[in-house]
Amino acid sequence: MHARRERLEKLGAEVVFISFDEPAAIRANLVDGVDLAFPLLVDRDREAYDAWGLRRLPWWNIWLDPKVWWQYGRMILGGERPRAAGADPYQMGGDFIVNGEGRVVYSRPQRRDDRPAIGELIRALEASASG
Amino acid sequence: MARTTSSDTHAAHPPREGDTAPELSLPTLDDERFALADREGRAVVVSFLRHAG
Repeated sequence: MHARRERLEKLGAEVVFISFDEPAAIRANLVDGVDLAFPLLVDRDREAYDAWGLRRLPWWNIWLDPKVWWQYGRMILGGERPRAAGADPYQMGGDFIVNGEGRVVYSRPQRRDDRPAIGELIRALEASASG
Repeated sequence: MARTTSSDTHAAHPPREGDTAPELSLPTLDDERFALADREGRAVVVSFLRHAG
C-alpha cells in the first residue's frame, strides 16, 4: 500500500472511504483492511449512498451468487460467526474518481462483489491527470 | 426501492463519467468534516464500502 500511496500523492490525489456502519463496528472490523492514512467518512443515514445512487440489491442477487456462498463457507470453516445483526449485506458500494473540477471521470458502482483493483484506479487517475 | 429516506435526494443511478459529482459532505471517523466541494483542484478517489467485515 505504501508505494501506491506515494503514486497517489504524486498525482495530487486524495482518497476517501465511506462506510454506513457504526463507528464502533468500523473500528472493530474494517480498520485492518483499509489504509487509514486516508479519511474514512461515516454515513449512518446513507445520505451519500443515496445521493450517489448506490443501490441495495434484492436478496436473490446476493444469495444466488456462488461467490457469496463460497465466502460464507470459508468464514464458517474459519470459525467466524456470521455477521452481527444490523449489518446490511444488500447495500452496494462503488468506486469513483472526481477530478479537480468536480467532474466524475471514473465510475464503477458495485454489482455483487466486483471491485476494481487499486491499480486500475491509479491508472484511471493517471489517465485523467494527463488528459 | 423499498427503503424510504427522510430526504428525496436518492439518485436514480450512480453518476456516469462526465457528470458533475453529487454532493459529498460527511463527518470522518475522527469527527472532522470532509466536503468534496472543499477539495476543488484535487482529484479525489471516492470509495463507498459495503458493510464492515
